[in-house]
Amino acid sequence: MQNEAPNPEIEDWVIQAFIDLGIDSIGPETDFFAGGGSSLTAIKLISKVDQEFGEYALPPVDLFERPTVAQIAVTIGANCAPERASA
Amino acid sequence: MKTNTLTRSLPREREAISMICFPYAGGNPSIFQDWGRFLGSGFEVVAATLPGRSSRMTEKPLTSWQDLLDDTWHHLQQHLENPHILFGHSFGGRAAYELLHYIERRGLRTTTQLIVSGCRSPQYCQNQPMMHPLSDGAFLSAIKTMNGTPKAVLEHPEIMKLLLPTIRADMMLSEIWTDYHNSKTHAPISVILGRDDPIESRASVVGWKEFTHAAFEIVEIDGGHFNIDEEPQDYTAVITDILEKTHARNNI
Repeated sequence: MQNEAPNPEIEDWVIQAFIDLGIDSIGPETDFFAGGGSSLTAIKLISKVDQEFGEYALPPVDLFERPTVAQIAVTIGANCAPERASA
Repeated sequence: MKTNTLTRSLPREREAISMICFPYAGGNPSIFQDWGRFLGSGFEVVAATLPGRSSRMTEKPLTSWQDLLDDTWHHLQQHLENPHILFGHSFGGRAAYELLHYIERRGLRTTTQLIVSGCRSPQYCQNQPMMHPLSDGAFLSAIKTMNGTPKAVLEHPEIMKLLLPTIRADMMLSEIWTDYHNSKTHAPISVILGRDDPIESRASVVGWKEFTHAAFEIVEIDGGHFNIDEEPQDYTAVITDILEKTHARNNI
């Protein structure tokens, strides 16, 4: 990945997305699946990310293998255009 | 460290009893996330999280019953050594029953009740065509006809590719499963059967009565095989009734 540094803006965005999807106990270490995420909510999250950060900013395999708020934010940061990552 | 169980109904009271829950093949433990609230205080709902799903998504799904039971024992030992209820739906019913034997073989009599739902009895032969040996394409088509996977998930090829090995592994264990023990258990067995279940029927579940020395009952409810997703409160209402009866029996 190009950019492994945490991006607080993206983390905040992911936290809000988790809340919208009804995932429990939100913090940077919250695991999407341990918090109650299912394959259906995974698709909803991916689609939200696509709308906000551009298509394929969160590939399913990355969500499944790196499912915490912080990890998801890093994946998005590495995959989306720089101007959006700093938006 | 990863969480291996979803623990709900958090205010653990002194007398709270664990209810260990197993979902259907490929099912996510999150299907039980509201059960603690529906069942009320007195119960701690613990959803078993097997490898290959949820917070254990990156682990390889298990393809032997022995491995599945060893893994479950390893993760849930503290619950299983104390009084608890076992619940499972379909594949999960088989897992709950196998776990009951596993616990009893250790000389423990800590399971106060086994509740299986939408699950044939051990000696009743699998009468659906076997799905687990099918090619990916044919397997996917067969899953679609079962109506247990949300359409949005089925239509997402990348997500399905990630989920397929787990669904197939669970299906395999489900389909090869038979009466491995030829012996009765000591826990009462309650069977929940959907009146419109296209997979199970009274004929396929009535044989469960041969597998317990204790009380046995079949409770029929409205709905089909996946009513557990559609009407979870119908389930928890039936389970509450079952547990109240067990409680009353134990206190006579």
